[in-house]
Amino acid sequence: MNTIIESLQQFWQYTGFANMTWQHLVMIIIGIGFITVAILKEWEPLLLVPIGFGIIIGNIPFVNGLNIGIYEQGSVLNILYQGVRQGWYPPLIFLGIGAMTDFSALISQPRLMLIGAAAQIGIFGAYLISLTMGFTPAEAGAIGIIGGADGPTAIFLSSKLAPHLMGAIAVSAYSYMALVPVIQRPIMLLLTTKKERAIRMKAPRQVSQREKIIFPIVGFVLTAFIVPSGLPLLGMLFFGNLLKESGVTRRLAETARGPLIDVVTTLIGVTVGASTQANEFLSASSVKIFLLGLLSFVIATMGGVLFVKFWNIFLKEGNKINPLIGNAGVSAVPDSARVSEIVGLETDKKNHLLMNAMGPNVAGVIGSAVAAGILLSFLG
Amino acid sequence: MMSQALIFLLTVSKSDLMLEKDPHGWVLTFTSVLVVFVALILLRYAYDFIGKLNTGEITFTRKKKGLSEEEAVAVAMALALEKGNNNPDEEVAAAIALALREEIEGSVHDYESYVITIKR
Repeated sequence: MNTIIESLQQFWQYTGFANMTWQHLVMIIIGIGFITVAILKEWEPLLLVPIGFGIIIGNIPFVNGLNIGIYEQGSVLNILYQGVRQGWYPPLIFLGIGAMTDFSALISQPRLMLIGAAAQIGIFGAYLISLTMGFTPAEAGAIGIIGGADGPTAIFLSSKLAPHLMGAIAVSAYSYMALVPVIQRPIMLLLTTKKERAIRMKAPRQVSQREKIIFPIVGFVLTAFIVPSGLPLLGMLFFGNLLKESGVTRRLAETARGPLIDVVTTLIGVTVGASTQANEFLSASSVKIFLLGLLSFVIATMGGVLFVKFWNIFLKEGNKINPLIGNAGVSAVPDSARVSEIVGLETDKKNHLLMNAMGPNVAGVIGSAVAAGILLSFLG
Repeated sequence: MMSQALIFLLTVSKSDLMLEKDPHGWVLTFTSVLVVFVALILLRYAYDFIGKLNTGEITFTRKKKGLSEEEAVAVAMALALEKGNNNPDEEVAAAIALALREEIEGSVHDYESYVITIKR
């Protein structure tokens, strides 16, 4: 009888209940919160459900030495986590993004590319503020990239510059991407007049197949020559797009934008979530990162909208740009472009901005990858 | 012997170096924003150029000099006379002139209806 009781006592020591702290509980509640928001509000469910469940996985307390934890060398989770840690997953996701993105809106109006550049100001605004808050330049660069509103880019850069902050940076980036409609709308309304919001833009012209094929090749060569450190992201993005547009690699394109991106998104979500173990995640620096992430989104949105307003001063009547598409330069494809459309329709029910907003939106993806490459060359 | 500067460069990370050179981050910020803009401006003009090439706004072939209307009519009448029609009809001449002009200016399409209707 005693042996049984001793065995049970010993087993108890291995259970999560015996090892639980209040921090574990807080993180599990956060994980459940992510899942709840994803299901009830449908905010980025493909990301928040895996991340939320990953947070729960990573915060089940256990006794070290069982070789099951994400930070324990050789464990299953640790092996899967290497895709994040070494930066393998983000380029694969970019391959899928390239294979599913139609760049026609940008090709037909290349001038909108500048909005994608202007919105990157959020990255560098957050970088400057992070430095004043005591982060090192490498940490500040990794935090700043949250303003690129691009999860894979944020993971890629933070894995290179500040791996110890990656969990907080990734969760922050994905959380704010899910909150894009909530964050951007009031800023857009605050910075624009009703007259500006009612500006009608010309519908993008039809783009030929030849232009669509030339786009990824020229785009890659130009950007990669300027920022070779962005090669993994830019290369995969434009390669994926070439698979889509070439017309002769349909099977590869379908795999890249279908099963491949689904598998990698699942793995990246779960492992990033699981990497947020309470003892690593619940710290003052995580709170600062969340605050800076929000600031970077705000600055990026303001940068895009104000840039269009400034640009309009020099544009002739009839050629002006609706500043409501300025927010779309932050990337977060296609959510921020949808916000432009929705806010535009609130002012004028017949003014559809979606196709015009998709231009700066996809330019933002290129812009944030270029910005990540620059930060990596300076700080990596 | 390695210089102090080289030893410093080999032992410190780029981040430390940046902290030393640019503690407030303004230099990196200015440089990075500039590079992002330059990259996307270059792309903008590249695609502008490709788009114009594609829509025919820019061409590399020398534009053929077209005949004036009077010249085309004169050629048409001469052709008609040569074919044995001593008194060419105005409509026939105009039709031949129109076809000639289109041929010379390169605005003929691959498939034509071969029906020319002239409204009086």
